[in-house]
Amino acid sequence: MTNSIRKVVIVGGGTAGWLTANILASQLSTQKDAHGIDICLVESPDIPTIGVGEGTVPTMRQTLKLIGLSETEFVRECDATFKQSINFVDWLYPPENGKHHAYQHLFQYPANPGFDLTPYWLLHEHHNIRYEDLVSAQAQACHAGLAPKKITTKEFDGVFDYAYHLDAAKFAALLTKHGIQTHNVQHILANVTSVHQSANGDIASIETDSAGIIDGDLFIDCTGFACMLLGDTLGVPFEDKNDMLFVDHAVAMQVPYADDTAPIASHTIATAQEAGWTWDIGLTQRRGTGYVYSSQYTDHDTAEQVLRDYIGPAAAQCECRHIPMRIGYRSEFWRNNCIAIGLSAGFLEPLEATAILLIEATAKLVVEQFPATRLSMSHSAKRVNTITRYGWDRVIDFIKLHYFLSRRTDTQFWIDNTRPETAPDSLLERLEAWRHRPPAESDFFSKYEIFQLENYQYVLYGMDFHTDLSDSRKRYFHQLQTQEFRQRMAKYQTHVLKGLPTHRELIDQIRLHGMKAI
Amino acid sequence: MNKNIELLDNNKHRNLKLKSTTRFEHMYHRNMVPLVANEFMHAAINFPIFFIKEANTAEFKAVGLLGFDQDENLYFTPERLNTNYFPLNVQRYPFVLTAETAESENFAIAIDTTSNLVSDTDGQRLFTDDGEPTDNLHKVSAFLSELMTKELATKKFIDYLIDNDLLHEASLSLALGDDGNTSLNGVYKVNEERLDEIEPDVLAQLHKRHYLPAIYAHLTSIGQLQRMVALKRMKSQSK
Ligand SMILES: Cc1cc2nc3c(=O)[nH]c(=O)nc-3n(C[C@H](O)[C@H](O)[C@H](O)COP(=O)(O)OP(=O)(O)OC[C@H]3O[C@@H](n4cnc5c(N)ncnc54)[C@H](O)[C@@H]3O)c2cc1C
Repeated sequence: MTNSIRKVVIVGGGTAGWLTANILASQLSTQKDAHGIDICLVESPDIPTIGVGEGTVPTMRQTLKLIGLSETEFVRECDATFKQSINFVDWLYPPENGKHHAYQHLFQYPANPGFDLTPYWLLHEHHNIRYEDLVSAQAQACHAGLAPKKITTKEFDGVFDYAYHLDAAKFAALLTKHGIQTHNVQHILANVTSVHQSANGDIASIETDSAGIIDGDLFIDCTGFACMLLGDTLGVPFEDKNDMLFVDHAVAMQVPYADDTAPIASHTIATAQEAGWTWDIGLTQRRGTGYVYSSQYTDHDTAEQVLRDYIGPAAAQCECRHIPMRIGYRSEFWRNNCIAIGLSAGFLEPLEATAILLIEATAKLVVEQFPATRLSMSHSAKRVNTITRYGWDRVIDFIKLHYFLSRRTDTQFWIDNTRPETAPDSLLERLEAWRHRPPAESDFFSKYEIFQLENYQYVLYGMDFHTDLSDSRKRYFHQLQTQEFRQRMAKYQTHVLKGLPTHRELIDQIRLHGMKAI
Repeated sequence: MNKNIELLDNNKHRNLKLKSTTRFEHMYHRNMVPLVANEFMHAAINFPIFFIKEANTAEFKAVGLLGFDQDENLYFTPERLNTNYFPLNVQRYPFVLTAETAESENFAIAIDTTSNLVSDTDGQRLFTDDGEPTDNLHKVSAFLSELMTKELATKKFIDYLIDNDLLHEASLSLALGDDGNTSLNGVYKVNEERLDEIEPDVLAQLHKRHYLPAIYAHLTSIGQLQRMVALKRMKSQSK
């Protein structure tokens, strides 16, 4: 007996379950022959999916391509729109007399004219121009409500880099159809009632209420916060991260547009509030909004009122949903023959839309490390655990950065968030270095950083982080080139913005005519 | 529809007259002209043929490239004509076939009333005094419906190329001498490597559908870019 891995059983049919099923099935052979792998997805007809999770990061484009979906079909069926950045409002200071501080984390990386512009911005330009406007035209495109591409730009290409906003329920439905029709995923609608283990602790089979017993060689736990296989059955503990990231609840609301010509924002708007922040995501048919907050610093009724106040009159006819969130991750993601992907693996807060990113990344990692037999499984598990944990920790660093750099002192939530003992050491170390020199490529040495130098640059200097170059200013001798670059960039900005349609126009054109694959 | 383009109306346009032209002034500031597939052979010995996407729909169409800059035409100039072939879409001017109303499937003839070919005094009439179409207008009508048939066939041709993965974006960069370099963006061509390795059944189809002459005419025509560069140099020297 070689115990070759022939049958993968995925439990759970939310975004995690169906993305994983599509990624595995499109990358591993699912032919019905001696080498083929059977992929079967079991989902409960009764337990609803979480139903939020509408923001993505640019890797989603590669993922859609990888699983063979057309971008046109995706945009049409998921009410998807183009996300070019996150606009962070009121994060540095609370609003004062109706004035708001705001900066953008752009998906288009900063321009690099052969040298890093950051020190020159710090030394000379930061009084004249925002960081994001020095290094890119994308912030202006967002403010003007423009799309990141034209109808003639081929699928998955952009004039600017971009990700998507999507309707979570419709996305799961599209992935379901695609997984079954294109990738031979077997779909079973049933409730898992118990889990059977073999002597070595492996999961041998799952028992369902209406589809009998289903056995498998590898089980993927995509049961959401329930974490039925890895947590309940195998007993892998949950590591709480609430001491660093304080938010633990969300209240969500879907808001209709005034009419079908209303502009659609091409960025997520993340507005800091008294005990957390609100998200505001524009889809084609509605906005998805919510308030993510810490119940240690506010109560649920006040939180709902904060969201209603943010939305304004349109909120009057809207229902809202309260969602408790458990912040942290499992101490192992793969134990025995069971892997958790999605909310079952953990959840940090949705500030940088990293949950779906981690789903994509973990599923791709499982493909790379896919064990041929049971014997090689523990090696794969070890790799996946190390890399995935590294990824989750880097996400914590990056999210905490947004809070830690705040100068808000208006509520205890913000005051406590800037206390060093609430920040991970890995973040504090980096910040200490960057007080005396700009962040460098070599600060991000792993392929599995999740967030790179460029992402940090936007947040650090969007939040006015002070890097003191007074002792090293002589090292930066490209001042003239920076001047020239500024002029070129200004020209480019005018030129490129003229050629782009509004976001709404592009979406309408895609619905009507579609984009071309070439 | 352009606001100066009006549906032809036997009352409103009863006395309208049309002059003929050999100069094609309306082309002077247009750098492209749509082509139909069975014109490719004639076009190819004059200017390059590419495929481009329509700006608002991303629908592919075939065009003759006549200038590098947006409003530049190196072939139809006030000084001289540098082409011996006049594409159907040049000849049809100032007429165009258009949908009768926004929702309608019926087509009707429309005319650009601001054209300098249109006059109240000189040229041939389109309607008789009783409002009946003249022979002249019958000819226009026949010409336009023939053009439409050919355009539909061209669309089928392009769809076939796309479905068989035969089109790809061309990346072309040209040295214009003193004017520096220019690169052509957003133009597509037949993928020659793919054509070389084409499956026998696709090749048989290309042959059966008479697509091969158009494909080779298009590929050959790309060499006319050099001629355009020469025309552009001459133009800038004469300035
Ligand atoms: C407030 C909030 C905002 C968020 N915003 C973002 C964002 O902007 N970007 C982002 O990337 N992510 C975001 N997320 C995270 C994102 O929603 C999830 O990562 C994503 O939806 C994946 O969820 P899931 O599939 O793991 O779980 P779920 O959607 O909960 O799916 C669980 C599945 O398991 C099934 N199941 C459970 N128990 C059983 C059983 N016993 N038998 C059979 N089936 C069972 C259920 O039927 C369901 O199909 C957000 C999350 C929250 C809470």
